[in-house]
Amino acid sequence: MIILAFILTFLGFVQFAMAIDGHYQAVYGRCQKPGRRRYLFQAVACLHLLAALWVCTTTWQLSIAIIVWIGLIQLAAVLVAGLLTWRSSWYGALWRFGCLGRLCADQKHDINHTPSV
Amino acid sequence: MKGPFRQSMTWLHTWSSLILIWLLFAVFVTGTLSFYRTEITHWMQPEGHIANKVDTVTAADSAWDRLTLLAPWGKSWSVSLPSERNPKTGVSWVAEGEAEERRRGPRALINASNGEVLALRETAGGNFLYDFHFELYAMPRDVGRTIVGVASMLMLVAIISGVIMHRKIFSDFFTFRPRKRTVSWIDGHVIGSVLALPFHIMITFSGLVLLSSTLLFWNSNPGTQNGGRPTTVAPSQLEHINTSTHTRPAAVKPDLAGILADAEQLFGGPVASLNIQHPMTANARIQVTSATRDSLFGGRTGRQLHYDLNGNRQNDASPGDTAVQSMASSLATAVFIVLKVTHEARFADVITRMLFFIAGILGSAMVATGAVLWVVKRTRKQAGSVGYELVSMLNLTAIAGLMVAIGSYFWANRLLPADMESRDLWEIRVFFLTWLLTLLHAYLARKQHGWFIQLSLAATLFICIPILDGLTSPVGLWAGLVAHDWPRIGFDLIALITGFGLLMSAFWVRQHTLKRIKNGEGGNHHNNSRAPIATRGSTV
Repeated sequence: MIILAFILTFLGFVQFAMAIDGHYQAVYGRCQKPGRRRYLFQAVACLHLLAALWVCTTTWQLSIAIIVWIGLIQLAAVLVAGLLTWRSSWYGALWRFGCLGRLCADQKHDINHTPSV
Repeated sequence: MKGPFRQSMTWLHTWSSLILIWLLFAVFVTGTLSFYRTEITHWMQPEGHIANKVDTVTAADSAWDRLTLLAPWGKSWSVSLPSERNPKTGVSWVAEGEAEERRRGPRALINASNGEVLALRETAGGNFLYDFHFELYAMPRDVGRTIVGVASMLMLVAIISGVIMHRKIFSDFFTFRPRKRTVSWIDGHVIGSVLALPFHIMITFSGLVLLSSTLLFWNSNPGTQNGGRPTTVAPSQLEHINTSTHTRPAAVKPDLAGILADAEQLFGGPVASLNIQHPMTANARIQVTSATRDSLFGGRTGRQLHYDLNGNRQNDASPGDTAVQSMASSLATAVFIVLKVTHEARFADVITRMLFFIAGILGSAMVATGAVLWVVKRTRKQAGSVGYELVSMLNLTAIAGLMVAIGSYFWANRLLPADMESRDLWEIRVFFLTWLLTLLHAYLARKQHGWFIQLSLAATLFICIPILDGLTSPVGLWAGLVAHDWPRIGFDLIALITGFGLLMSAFWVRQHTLKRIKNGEGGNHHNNSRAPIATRGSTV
């Protein structure tokens, strides 16, 4: 279960990062900006994190689950930061194939602009 | 208003953290290691390393048999069963005519498979690191606690002012820009702090609260926390007990297997310990305690069940006591308990403990990068001034030197003769002597590749720890792996990873120093390696 929770928090942070201009441009090319989709990404990311918290509560009681959840969040955030710094192509792939946020987002960008990474 | 306010926060952040930053780093590192205190002590007593995995029932059986020899007339016995954190069985008893007193830790550690009393070497173990992280060493306990308390207060100030001064906390959330000198150090510092901010706040604040009794000087009863150490009796003393002439007629042994199976099923997890009242009599009563703590509000232990000699469960009403009801008389006490349990990760299983450990590493990284950042920012303008040189010297000792000292502490554990007089003291002496030597080295020769030398020395010590372990433990590494001696193997693994991490940073420092010398930056070559880390340049 903890692995599932970790995957959820990790993907959550991938989407959080997508809401930030710089990381969005790394995937979609220079002149792009997430614009209002930013809020969509953040909402999806929050849902991921909440789902992860729920997964944690199935294993631990709420008080411990929250602590485990926060621990997972830290780990996921650091890994996403590392991914963005040293393996941004992996990050792009993860975004393309692993994230709900992308499915909900405007598909036009995918078609019109070949990703730069 | 906004500008000056932020500026003053920056000033506060810089200087409040600088005062005790070296101490803070040591506290953070040793505190992080304390999450694995039990495991470290296990590693440091190779006589207790196991060669074969033992199931709970065998361990309980052999402990029972051993107790019938050790304390046949005992008023009560208790057995702490092997766990994933410590594969040895601990036994203790209240002997006939002995006052019942609350003691911490077992009286003797026995081999879980055959019940033999283990002749473990004297070691300061993980307890030294644990004590050091909140009481320091060689000073009255209250003084040490007060100093650490002040340091955590400064840390809290630094965290809060750091959050305020940070302008783009969300848009720079994941940003790390390597190869950019000062900017990279700032990014590293920010990543270490912001991403694990909840942990830092929790650990600093709860640490402060735990030490609060020593900080309030009008408190009449300072240091109410436990200072008790598990004290085990030397095997020679146990033999003395063995020779008691009167033996009790052997009473029926309870159905331990049945009791354990029933309890494990009810707990939904492993059993941590057994406590037997009136052993060797017909009205023996067996109390079984669960290893899992399912709430932050629990008391000292997990759920408990009671059985009689025939293995029938007694239905009494003390399941999983909620400490908020039984222990806490007020909200403040309840908060204190929650903070204490959280700070010490008492509830944690292996994976959650790992999460705390990683967060602790991030915290240490935050402090270390902060210390280096102070120097990096001032290299151009202040190099050569007394303050600058002092800080860069202390940085080298406190960061790289501490790693060397910890490494040699572990080496001393294995290389000092096992039956040495006051052996644990010598381990600690080696730790501090090494640290002192690194200070001396930093003072005399930090400009001659000081960082590279100390980092690579620490790396060598840590990388060779598994080899040392394999050579000096009675149980080989492979045998330990087969026997699932995870505390030991995990220790070796983490040491190896730490060692390679240190090695990488050592070579990174060297590369940069050499490049900088080649580029002729900063004029005099001799001075270039003054703070090699400070030379992190655009030429990775």
